[in-house]
Amino acid sequence: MKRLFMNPDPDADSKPLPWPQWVERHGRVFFLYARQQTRCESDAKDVLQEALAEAWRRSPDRSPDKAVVFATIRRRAIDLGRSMDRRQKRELAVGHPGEDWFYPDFSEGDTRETLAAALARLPADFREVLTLRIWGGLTFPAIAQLTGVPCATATSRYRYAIEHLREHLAELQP
Amino acid sequence: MKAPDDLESLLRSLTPNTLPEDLKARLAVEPSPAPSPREPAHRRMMIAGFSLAAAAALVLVVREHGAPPSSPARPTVTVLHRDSSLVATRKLGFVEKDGRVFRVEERHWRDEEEALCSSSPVSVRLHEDRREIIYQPVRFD
Repeated sequence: MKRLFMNPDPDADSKPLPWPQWVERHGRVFFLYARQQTRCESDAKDVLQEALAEAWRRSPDRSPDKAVVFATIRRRAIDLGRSMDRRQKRELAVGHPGEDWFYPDFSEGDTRETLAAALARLPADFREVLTLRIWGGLTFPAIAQLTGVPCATATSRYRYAIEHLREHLAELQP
Repeated sequence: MKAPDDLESLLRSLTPNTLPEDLKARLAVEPSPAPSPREPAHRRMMIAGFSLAAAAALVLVVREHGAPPSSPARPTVTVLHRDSSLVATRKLGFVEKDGRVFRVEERHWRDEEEALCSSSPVSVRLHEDRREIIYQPVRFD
């Protein structure tokens, strides 16, 4: 155990939300993260349900902090992964989807699908930081604490992820 | 296809997909409050020790006052009152374990018990102080 100094979450809810509204507001992002942390859709659903319930119970006087929920999802996904044998993990790792991670926006043409596919191909560490930063809205210090790496590493992973995506999209340009 | 000149803005414009209907149904009901944790083993042992000590003390009291020799029935001990009260709390700091952050707090409890022996009007009151360390999960704000 080590002492930890937390950074403030600028997006923390000032007023507690009822459970249904809280799930409605943040459930999408949490599910996106859970899908990226697990090896199949059903695992993502299980992990998300358990993590949300755990975070909610531990925060009786206000809505749970997003960073805490992300950390809970991450811990439960890791625990679940450890509990599965290697053969099963290999089987489930095949064909893990990424194409429906985002809500369809037909005005954007194939942008959504292209980006989602590129995102799915990113190294997991890079994708995790990108997701927590872009859609989770976490600060780099918070991401660093959540993922257990120095802040500089989290920042670098984000930059590398953006650069990877940029190169991938540039290759697709006519 | 948009040019990737402002990729971060483009990424932010993507909205994570909605929850599947079956997951929505699973999340429709608010989780029930956390169940009260089972009393730890050391506390259960302490309560058992309390009862034993109370019984022993009552036996001594009975002997002191002299139980009627003609009475064949052995005296029974009845616990009249048992309570635990929080005397003080003290914040010790913060720790992190397995990716979770906890506020560490020390609580000072007083356990009290009052028992009565069936063969004597004398009641015995015992109390014992104990300290416990509590880990409370904290948020990042």
